Amino acid sequence: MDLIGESTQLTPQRKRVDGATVNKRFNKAIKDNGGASTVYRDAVDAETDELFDCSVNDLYQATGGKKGHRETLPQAAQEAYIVNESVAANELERQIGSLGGETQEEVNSKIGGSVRQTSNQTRKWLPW
Amino acid sequence: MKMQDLKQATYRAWESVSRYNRAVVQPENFQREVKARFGDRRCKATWVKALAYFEAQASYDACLDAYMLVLHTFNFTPERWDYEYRHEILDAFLMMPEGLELIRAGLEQLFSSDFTQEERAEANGFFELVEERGGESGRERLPVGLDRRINAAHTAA
Repeated sequence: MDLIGESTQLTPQRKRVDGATVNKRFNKAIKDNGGASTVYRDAVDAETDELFDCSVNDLYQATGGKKGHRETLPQAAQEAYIVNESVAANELERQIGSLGGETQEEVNSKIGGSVRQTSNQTRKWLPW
Repeated sequence: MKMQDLKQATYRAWESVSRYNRAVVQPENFQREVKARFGDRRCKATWVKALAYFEAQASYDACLDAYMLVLHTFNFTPERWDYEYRHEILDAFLMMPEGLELIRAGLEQLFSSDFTQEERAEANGFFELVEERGGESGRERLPVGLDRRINAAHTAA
């Protein structure tokens, strides 16, 4: 492509965003903050607790979903996760390098705290 | 891992299980539960069994997406604190009623169009773990079909 604009502009390679895309960005933001091992399950537990007031097992059981298959949860629950993980990822990306923590356990704990705080705010926008 | 560190790691896993199940964490019950379920607390083997069990249980309880088991939870790499006990942890998970089914679901999700080949390759620690089990006698192997699929993916990656 030259600067004068003689050639055709290429369409950027993008695709429609879905829950999996958002969840991957959320997990990447956790990793980019130095999170490792148990931080992922702690983050999932924290967001589920704040958004739905229950555990992951309870959510699957109460809604008749199939454990491990997020796509079997009610649409409203899936949307809540998408919204929350998107916002939590924004916040975590903003916090890269500033969360602190000396040990891996401390770093994980700071990340878990950030996710919980965001999820607590997200909950205020949900109808239940 | 030293005995003291092993006990601490076991306590953390036990505490996670309590938390994930919305149970009130009562530290005084920890030692009692380890003894009742796993035996002599003076033996290191008892603590390894307890750690594996509570890690597996915590991994199950907080599992929202099965693919996270393959991509993170059991994607053991040498720098991880739990690398030394990777086989024991996976063994304990496979002993759980839905353990194998969840691993299978995780692989199916990872091999769906939601993930790129590059993203699948990040689960290398899990694929290596499965390969190691192929050569060890006495270890429960994953079903053959699953093994082949993993190996094929591993080679491609």
